[in-house]
Amino acid sequence: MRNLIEFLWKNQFTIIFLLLEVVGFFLLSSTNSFHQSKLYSASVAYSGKIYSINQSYLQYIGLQEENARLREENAMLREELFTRPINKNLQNKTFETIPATVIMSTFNRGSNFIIINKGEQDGVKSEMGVISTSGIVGRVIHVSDKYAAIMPVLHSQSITSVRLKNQDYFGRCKWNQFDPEVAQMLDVPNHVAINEGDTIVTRGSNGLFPNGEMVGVVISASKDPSEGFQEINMKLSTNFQNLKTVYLIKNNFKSELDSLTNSINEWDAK
Amino acid sequence: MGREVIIHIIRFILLVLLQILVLNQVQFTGILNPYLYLYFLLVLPVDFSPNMGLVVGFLLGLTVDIFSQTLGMHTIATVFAAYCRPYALRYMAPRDGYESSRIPGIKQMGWLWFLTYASIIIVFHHFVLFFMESFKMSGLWFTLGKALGSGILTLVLAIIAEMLFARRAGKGLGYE
Repeated sequence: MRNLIEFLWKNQFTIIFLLLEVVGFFLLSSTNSFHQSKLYSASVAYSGKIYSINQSYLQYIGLQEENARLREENAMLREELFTRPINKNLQNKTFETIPATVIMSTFNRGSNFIIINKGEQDGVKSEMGVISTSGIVGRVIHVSDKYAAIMPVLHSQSITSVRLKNQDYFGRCKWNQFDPEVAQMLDVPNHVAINEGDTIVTRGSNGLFPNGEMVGVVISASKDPSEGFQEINMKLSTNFQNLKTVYLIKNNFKSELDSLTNSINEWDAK
Repeated sequence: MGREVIIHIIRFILLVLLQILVLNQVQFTGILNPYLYLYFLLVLPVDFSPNMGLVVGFLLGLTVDIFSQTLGMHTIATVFAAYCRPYALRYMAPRDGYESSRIPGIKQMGWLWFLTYASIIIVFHHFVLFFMESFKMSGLWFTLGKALGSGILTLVLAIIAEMLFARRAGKGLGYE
């Protein structure tokens, strides 16, 4: 016993080091496993407060371009409104949007994040899809009272189900952590003819996004005979380097879709 | 003594704010990101208790983590850097010991000494950090390059900070 205490006392520096590293690894793993951990929403709440103060000083920078972009989108939506026959069935009410402003975002890491100025008070919930004026952005993962954290497409764990616009083959959109402007589309078989410039849109399979939201444009596709699937690179249509206005997508029938998916998974497990 | 502690606390807050509000948002060449907050750890006094150094490193990393949505990553890297610090100091010790100066800075220890000392700590910190960030080995060279590039940026900023801070410290802010 005495020897043990002596040993611990002698190596206290290394032991404190190991203990602190264990705490560090615990924190790291907690962010990967449970999305709604209290720790994480506290982190979102605190950093949201600091970043919104920062944002209030910086919000005028780039406002002109942002205005131009929103005006352009407005015009486009108005046009669509004129040409589309008025249709008051349920389909129209499946998705509602909540506008929000980005107060902090990164794009140069292996796993990036975005914080917006809307939270639980404004009806934001985790697992909501997020789009920008030009394409998809990501999904909500943590919500505090006034702020929310988004896992963008530029995250190692982000997977979005997407499809080719003109031929309905679908696959997954992932990011290989290299270039913040380029993502990859996986699971497209070799026999599908893909051309540079083909559009990739969301499939809407898990209810996060409506079907057909813009994701990106193919810049290169190479067949890989050993895998049977192509390697497709796409230029993301959302520019993550100057993101300001985003829209959260509220799917009114998400719980219905989820319970259906769950029952299928349960069935498979049997 | 009390004054020194206050200066450390102010420096801690300033460096963390600088890190999260400016450096994390300004993008150098798109993929590189300097982590100047490490400068706080670099210039702790030579006789600062190693155990306390670990705790301070933990708090520093945790604070940066909370504001970067990366719980754990900076904590692990900074605690590791704090663990390496006493060994680096011992390795770099001048023949007659550290008695004459207590701050490991350019002014007290000279350019070459500070460059070597800072590089050792920055390299260990950055490599741990960047490998935490991307676990997979497929982008090994990319990750190494990123860590190295960011490390050089951090080093340059640390030297600039050292030149700014150290001059002030020489004018009777309780150091030396």
